[in-house]
Amino acid sequence: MRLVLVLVLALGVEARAEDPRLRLNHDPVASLHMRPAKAHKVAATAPTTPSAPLPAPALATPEATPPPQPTDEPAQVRDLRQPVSARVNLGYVVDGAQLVNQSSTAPADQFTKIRAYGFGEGYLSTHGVAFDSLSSYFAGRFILANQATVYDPASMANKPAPQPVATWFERDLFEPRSAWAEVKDFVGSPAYEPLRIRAGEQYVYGPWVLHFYGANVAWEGKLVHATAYAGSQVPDYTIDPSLPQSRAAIAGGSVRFDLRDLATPIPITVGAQSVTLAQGLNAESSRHNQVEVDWRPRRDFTLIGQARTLAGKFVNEHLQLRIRWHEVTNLVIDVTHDASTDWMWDPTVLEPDPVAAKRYLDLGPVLPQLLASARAGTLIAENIDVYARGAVAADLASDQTRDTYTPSYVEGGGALEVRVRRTIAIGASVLSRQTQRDDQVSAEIIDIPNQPDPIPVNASSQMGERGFTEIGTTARMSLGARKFSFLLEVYGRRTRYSLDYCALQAGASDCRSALDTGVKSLGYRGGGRAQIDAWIGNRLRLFASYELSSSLEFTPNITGYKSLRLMMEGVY
Amino acid sequence: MGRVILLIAAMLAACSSQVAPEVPLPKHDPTRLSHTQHAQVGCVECHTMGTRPGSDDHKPCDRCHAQAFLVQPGELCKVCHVEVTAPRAGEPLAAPLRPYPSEDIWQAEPSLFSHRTHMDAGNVEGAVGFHVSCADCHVRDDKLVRPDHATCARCHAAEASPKGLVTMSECARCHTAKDQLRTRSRLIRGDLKFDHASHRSDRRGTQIKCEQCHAGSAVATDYASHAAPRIENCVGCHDDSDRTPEAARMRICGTCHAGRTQTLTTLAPRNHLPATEKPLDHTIAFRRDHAEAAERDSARCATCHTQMSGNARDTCDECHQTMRPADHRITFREVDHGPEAAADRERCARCHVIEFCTACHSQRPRSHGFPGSFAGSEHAVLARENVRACLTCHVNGIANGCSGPGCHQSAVGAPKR
Repeated sequence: MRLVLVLVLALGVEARAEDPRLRLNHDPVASLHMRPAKAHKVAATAPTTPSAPLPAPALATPEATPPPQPTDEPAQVRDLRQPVSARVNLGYVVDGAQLVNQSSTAPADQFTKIRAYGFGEGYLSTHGVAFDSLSSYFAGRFILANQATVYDPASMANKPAPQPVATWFERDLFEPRSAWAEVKDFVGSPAYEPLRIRAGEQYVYGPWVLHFYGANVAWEGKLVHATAYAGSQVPDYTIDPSLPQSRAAIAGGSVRFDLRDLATPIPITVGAQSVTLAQGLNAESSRHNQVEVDWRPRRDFTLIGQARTLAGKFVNEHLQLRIRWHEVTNLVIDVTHDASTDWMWDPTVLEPDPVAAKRYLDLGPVLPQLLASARAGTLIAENIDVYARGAVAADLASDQTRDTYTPSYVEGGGALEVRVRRTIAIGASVLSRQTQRDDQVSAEIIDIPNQPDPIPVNASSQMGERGFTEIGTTARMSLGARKFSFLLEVYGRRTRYSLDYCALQAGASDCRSALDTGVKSLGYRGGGRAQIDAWIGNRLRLFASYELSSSLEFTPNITGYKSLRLMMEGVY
Repeated sequence: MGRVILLIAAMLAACSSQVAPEVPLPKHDPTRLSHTQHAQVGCVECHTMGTRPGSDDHKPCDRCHAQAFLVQPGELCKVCHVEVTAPRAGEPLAAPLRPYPSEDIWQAEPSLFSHRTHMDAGNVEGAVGFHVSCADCHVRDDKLVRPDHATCARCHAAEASPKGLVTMSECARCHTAKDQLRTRSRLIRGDLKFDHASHRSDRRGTQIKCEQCHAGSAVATDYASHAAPRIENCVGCHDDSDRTPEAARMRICGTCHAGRTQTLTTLAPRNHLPATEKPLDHTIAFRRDHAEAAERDSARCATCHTQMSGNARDTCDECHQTMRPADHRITFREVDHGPEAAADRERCARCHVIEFCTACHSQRPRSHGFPGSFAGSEHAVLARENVRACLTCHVNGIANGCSGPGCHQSAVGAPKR
């Protein structure tokens, strides 16, 4: 019986596995006939003849001339690999400010009210010129600015006059930013195709942006990416020729393993970098190492962990989570821990230096800080762009070492942009940061009218802003990328400051009131800017920007900050 | 607070989906014939050219369902008929047929049909001596139609088909032997209206080729990959005044939408914008965090953003030399950069080295004037408001030049150089 059952089942399985009978057992209808072959050949050699049956003429007749395609596609702007590319822009800037309520004893030319200067930037790149494997790139800029001087009655000599709006330069200058030549795929063997050698003035992107003169050798394989470089740091932004220009010698390298390119892919990238800076006139010797692990199990999910050491000690750890959903929804979470042994403002500055060029930017020692931030944004109904962010920073220093420059704070903000017409978008933004300041009455200084008061303890954590809130709105009109766009922005900011000086009134227990001496603890200001960006064809761009601001809290006698920037750019 | 959370949740829930299916997954209509249940039956046992299955006195359905046709009308009848009523004296049998489900997405589409094969002029010419155009199959009596078996038979009929070519009897060369979910997506649905006849030529009289809208059709290797036109294809012409009359431009909603009119606050989807508009994903969040995207696909950035070096490694520097962050306003240069640097100094270090800071901080502030007025009494008002600004440059402690009568006694602000 079981044998019969097995046979039946086997036959059943066999029957199911058999392909259905789909063969035609009889002739199809004979009323349809293929066109005569002769006619088809004629049609093939005479493309203007319809291949029948005759459809509507507009659809059936092949076009003699293809319809013109849109020529304003961005992809058609420039071929990135063309042998020679160039871009030049020339601009003119006028900055201005006004002096109001000037003291009768103040000199007439306390600062330059109007300042105009020209600037230009040039870029040139070549690919395969002279040698197929050779590429080169140059980028530089120049500034034409007269150095305004004013007579200093104390020294009885002319001295540089302060500018109406802060700029980092005060005279003519020419500054090459990149000038390098690179060879790649020059050995002639496919095995060495990932090898690349670059020499000249260049940038390296790592834990920071490193600008140096030197050579960089890189191996850019799929699985392994490695670099080694050496040279001398570029003296950037050196405005005073009398300041030392010697910079540190640097040497470094990096290696990265992308395990996603293994035969059995693992969605992890592991990398390490090391940079050593030798002693320079303006730089301390130091060695920085960084390791990084990048886990990306999905294209839109990334978890990155970084740790950086200085002199063998961990000084900075960073964890970042990136999630993207449907291309337009993004979430980024960052957590960073910074130790007190980390560098100050860039890797060349490890300790406050009272005699170096940074003497006017003494912001005290680095303090340990924990910074966590989250930001997210999405696009709703393809028109409403929403963005929100929040951050919390904790000052991890002890009470004794706490200062004013690395305070704890809480920050929140958001932005919204809505397109109300096809070409017009209206936006609004808000940002608020509330800073924790030590509030010790005993640290406040009694203000005695008409007497010079003591200066607070340097970098006291009591000083500084307590918080600010800024709101802004924008209106943007765009006729398309590289066509024409206009931006109008208006914003206002309210800032609260801690009160360091006050006069203790009779009977009062504390003096935390600005009413006592008239010292302001609130500041309000506003400003705006308008920008026009227009393209004439695909090669010529015109840009204009005008910006205004009301007076700042600490310089109430200076008002009418304004800046006009005009620029013309050509691309070849 | 709760309302805010609800509002945010509702907004997030409304996020547009870029990969949302064009048609929601449908349900089977159990009252209709299932090809899957009839997979054991040869196609041509039911489908003969020119006749509808069952039209010849229920042949060939009666081979298996004969008993059902001999008894009172039941559920089986409803597979083909709306209803079957018993004949009355002097009246014919009332059994109206159900309409043919031309839009039934479970119908047996030619899922293996390849547009690419048929549009390959060289291949087709080599096989049959001529090539076919879109209109050869899709135009009948000067009207655009969906091809049917008769259309195919013009070339694939057994007596006309060259040797080796698929014949009409080889059903399985186009159809699979089970119900196929029709994945053909449609652009024209909902309140959209469209007329092929008015799209044969543009305003200048230039003919509009089929592939201008149906760009992917000619390369579709099977029926499922035959993509519908995208709205972006419409924008190219309908935003060009040379090719489209003013009344039919993209901003006129009523041109295509029967149920919408243009108002001052009408929000057109972003894919209705010209191709030169910024990409959909360039949101505010993207503007803030685009480093990873630029690293991953720098070639995409280069489509719009000029990269002179043509080298992904130099992308950051090339753009950010000329494109400053949005918050770097005139007041940022003056005062706001200080608190920002204190809050997140690594952000500054991504672009700036210390010399950039000291270049400005080495210059005399314009508020100071020259020795005399400011050093005398004018600085006091400013110092009391923000004494930290003084200490950035001035040493705390008694120093030369400012310890005389009328100056600070307990602590003296002398410049550091």
